[in-house]
Amino acid sequence: MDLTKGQSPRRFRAQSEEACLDAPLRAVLDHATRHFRAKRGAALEAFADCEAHFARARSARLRSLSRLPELLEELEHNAAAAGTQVHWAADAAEARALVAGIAQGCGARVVVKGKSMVTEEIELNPALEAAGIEVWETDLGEFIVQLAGEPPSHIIAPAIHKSRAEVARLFREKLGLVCQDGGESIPELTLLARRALREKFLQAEMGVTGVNIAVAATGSLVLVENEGNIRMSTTCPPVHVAVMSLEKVAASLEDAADLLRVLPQSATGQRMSSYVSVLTGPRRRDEADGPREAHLVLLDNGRSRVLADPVLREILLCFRCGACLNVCPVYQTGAAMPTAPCTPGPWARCCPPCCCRRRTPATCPSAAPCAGPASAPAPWA
Amino acid sequence: MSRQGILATLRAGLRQAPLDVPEAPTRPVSAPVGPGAWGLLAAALEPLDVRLRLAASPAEAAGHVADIARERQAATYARWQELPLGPEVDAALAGLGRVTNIGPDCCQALAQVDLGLTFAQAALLDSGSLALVSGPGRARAVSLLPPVHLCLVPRSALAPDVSALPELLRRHADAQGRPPSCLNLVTGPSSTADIELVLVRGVHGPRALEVVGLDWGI
Amino acid sequence: MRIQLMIPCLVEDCLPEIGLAVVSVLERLGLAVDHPGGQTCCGQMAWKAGDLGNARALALRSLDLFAGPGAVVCPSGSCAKMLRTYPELFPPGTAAHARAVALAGRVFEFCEFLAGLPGAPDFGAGLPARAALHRSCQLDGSEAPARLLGAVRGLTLLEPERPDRCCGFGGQFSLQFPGVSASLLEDKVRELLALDPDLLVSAEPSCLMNIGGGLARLGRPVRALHVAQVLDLGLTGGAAWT
Repeated sequence: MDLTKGQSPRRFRAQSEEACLDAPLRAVLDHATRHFRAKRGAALEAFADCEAHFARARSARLRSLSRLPELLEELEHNAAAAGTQVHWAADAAEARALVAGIAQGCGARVVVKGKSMVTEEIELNPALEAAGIEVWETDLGEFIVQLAGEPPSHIIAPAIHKSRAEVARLFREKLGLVCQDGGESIPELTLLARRALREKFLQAEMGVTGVNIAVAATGSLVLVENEGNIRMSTTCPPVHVAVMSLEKVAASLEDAADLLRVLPQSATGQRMSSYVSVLTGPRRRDEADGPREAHLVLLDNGRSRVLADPVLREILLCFRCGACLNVCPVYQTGAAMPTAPCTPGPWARCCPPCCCRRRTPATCPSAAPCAGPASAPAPWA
Repeated sequence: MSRQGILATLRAGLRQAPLDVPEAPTRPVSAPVGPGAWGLLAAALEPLDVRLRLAASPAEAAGHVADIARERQAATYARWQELPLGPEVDAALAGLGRVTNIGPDCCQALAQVDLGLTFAQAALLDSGSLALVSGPGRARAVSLLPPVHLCLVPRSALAPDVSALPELLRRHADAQGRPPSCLNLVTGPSSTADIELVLVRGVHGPRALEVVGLDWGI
Repeated sequence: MRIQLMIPCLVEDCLPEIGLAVVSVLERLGLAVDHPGGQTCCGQMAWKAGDLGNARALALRSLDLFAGPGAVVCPSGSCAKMLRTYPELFPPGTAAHARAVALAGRVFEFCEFLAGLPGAPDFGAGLPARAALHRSCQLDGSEAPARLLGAVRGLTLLEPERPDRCCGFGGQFSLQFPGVSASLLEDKVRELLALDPDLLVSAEPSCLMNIGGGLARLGRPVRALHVAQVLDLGLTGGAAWT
């Protein structure tokens, strides 16, 4: 299957039908989704008061939606008080223009990026590249699919469809890098990526990330990751730009803590992800590192209209743990690949027509035969 | 302007279909930090390939630090200027080169260092997470760029779980009540499973995390 | 007790033997079965395609048809669920909404209904066979089919490795994405055949038609039967089911 071809509504159906004939891809997706199901299942089994914690998290999300306009204003006010420059983007084009403008304003030639589905949604990379800027995805999986010129295949593991041999070939062909022992061992390949990207982190004038949770009461941004690339992107470059899907605001630090209690367990089965950063504004006086300039882009892209629909707005509760992918029968056939799952789960069924018309074809949401198992793993389904 | 438009649409939506939030269940009470706390922390760190070394005195702690530097074959180190046992640590690592130019744009310098030393303002027993609050004299990169991160955990930092986070941020707020510019919860070394779901420790951050518990009235 | 029988289109047109078995079992259990005439589609196809107008029209028709008292029993999880969804189709406060709420409270999927009867789940059926159970997504994890089948003497109930997995039918999904649907079915059939069953049993007619078709194309001598058919065979002495 060729994922590098352009996507269009007309071709989506044909591509899906073709993708699910790719037996190796199906085998990989089967393996990966099994792996994540098992990890999550074991984590939840060992998680005391699991249901009460999930209910707290759902309540935190509901509270956000019920006061969304007020909380966004509060977030804006407190983020600005901490020195963050806040921008509002009605749609993808505005968001792209804002980020490209910030990059040009700080004279960026190299930009490093943390994994962010919202920047996938707005197709940020081509816009920055068109402005003559070198853009590096720094999450290992994202880095691999970027080199391959493909969209990510899983929200948690973007390159699960790539074997170690394919990764070794990409590193050799695209970067001229080979493992010291000439082999294809996964730790050695990881080391190659570390070295290549370390250089970019130190060189970059700007880091771009998404946002997992924004705290209205303090103007803080919470970023969750395992590799340390998001910490690198918010520590080394002089400018940090966070692009945030506007429903991700939480009212208080307590609500954010309640969400952090369940997000990693639902996503990867970890009690806590390797790194959680709580960032409040740029570096302060007398601090040695961290960005001198911090920007927050609040992206709407159709979400505000969804809030008016009492049924549809349930999708705005989603915190993108990706667990639904791991039980979705259609996802496991590979048929969802042509859409790039920047909008999996509840979003895949409803969001494309509302938010990202350009990217995801209108036929996509109906590419899910049943509502049962697909909605089951969401903490608040 | 987009701002007004977005806020107006959101307000109209909620007016059209108000959203009631049902009462949330009370947050399950966290187990208090008791005599078995160090054991819990060790148990949470163990699956992350992190060993907890306990010290009953400053001298013992300095000994652990020296052991770790030797085991990890570190030739250079950098540390937070603000560090419990700072002088003892420097004495224990006297044979290593200390990188002290942690000024603005310290990343280049820290990228060359073998061992970074910090201390945790909180350590969560439930997950093994270490909370590092950065600030003047406590650069973010010290715990991130060197391949080995050594974190000192004072007994007073032990806390049950992530529900301690809001209070911690408030305790470290500045005069205007703003939380610190950066707090990192560090749970094990940096890791990835992005190639074939095989777990690899050490991607962009440290390959190894070492923890020394300071088990006295500190 | 009198009950009203709701027969899904798929049973009426493709698998009428399921309807006959349902009547046979219910009557054997001493129930009087009414089959209100003029039944059509419950509106599920229109509703799921986002065609609210036609869904409402069909729902109103069903509200009239089943206006009489007593339980409405349906041998399909998805159609029973649609009847229970009717209140979502009409604005609260309207007469249609009130009627929809009243109907929703007395709609039962066939297995659920049986499992709630006195004497359940053992009605004295016996059938020596190895039966692979397909738990349809549309039954929302109901244990009723497994409970009823578990009480059938001589029946060995087998569950596939991934009981939660869809068979690929999904109504209009199978028309829009026939290839994806077929690949889901392929996985499902492989998993079921690994159990080496004599029978495939489900409480959902559409799944039975889909999986049954998959088995037939492979030329496998595994019959696809509705829970009602298994019970009917089991109650009539387990006559030659092969």
